[in-house]
Amino acid sequence: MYRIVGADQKEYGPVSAEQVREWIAQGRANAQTIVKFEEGAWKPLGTYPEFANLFPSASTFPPGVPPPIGQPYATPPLSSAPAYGAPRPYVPTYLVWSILATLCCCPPPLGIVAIIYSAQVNSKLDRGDIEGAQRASTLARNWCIATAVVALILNFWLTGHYFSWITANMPNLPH
Amino acid sequence: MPQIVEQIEEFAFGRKPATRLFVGALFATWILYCFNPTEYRFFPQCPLYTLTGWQCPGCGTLRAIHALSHGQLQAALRFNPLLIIVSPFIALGFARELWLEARGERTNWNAIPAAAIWAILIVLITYGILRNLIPA
Repeated sequence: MYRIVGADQKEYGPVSAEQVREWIAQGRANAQTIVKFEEGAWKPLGTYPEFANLFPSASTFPPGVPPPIGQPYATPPLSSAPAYGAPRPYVPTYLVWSILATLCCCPPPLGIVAIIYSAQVNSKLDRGDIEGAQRASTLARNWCIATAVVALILNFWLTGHYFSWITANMPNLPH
Repeated sequence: MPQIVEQIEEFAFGRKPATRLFVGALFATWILYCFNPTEYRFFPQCPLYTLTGWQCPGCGTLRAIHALSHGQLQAALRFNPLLIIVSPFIALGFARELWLEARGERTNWNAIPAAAIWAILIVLITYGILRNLIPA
């Protein structure tokens, strides 16, 4: 018999292997779900050879959650939260680009906005707000691009010697 | 021959941004070593400084790197102190990222606490304000 930890961090079971297979099929348990067989250790479900063939790949399997309503035994509730131990999705923060944009591409206020959105990506991921994190990530990227474009235009406009320099400063070049 | 083409393609478009950035940084350092930004005008000017006369947190970066590449640490510290102080950490982070990329891994930026990013922002803004208030 197996005991499993649900998305709500509560323990369920003991249940049969048959029941575990059903929960996997329903997406209520996944490779990362923590499971104990008899008196063994708590291990991720993906490490049990008897269930391994049910997972296409540990990394591609979607974060699932435990069990159905109306079972004779206690079952883990449906929840939108990721299963215990499921990895967080990777949402790019563009932190390095934001800092480079702030330092190399003045005016600084534009780059600072990009850093603020970078910070929000991780803040929102911590709170489980994956959609919000993705929105902040896109905004951070767009502000980085905007900063670079504005800096380039300002540079050409303010110190527009890039082309005239070639002729005007020619004798200045090799010493 | 096609293997070389594949390697060039992998470098230009592959998922190894730190390697690309490193080669770019080496090239930029070489340009800065050869040409002093105070003598040659083809280097970008800081729009904030040109417009307002205030130094931004990145002002002096090119002159500092030029001085550092010629072994003049004190001059580099005068041009942009924060950059020189954090540069060993930047170098370490870069080396770590290159090592990870060579093994097909990458830094999980999502694992960085949000508080650390806010701290970087506060340090940058404070530095930008202080360097204009305290005459070097």
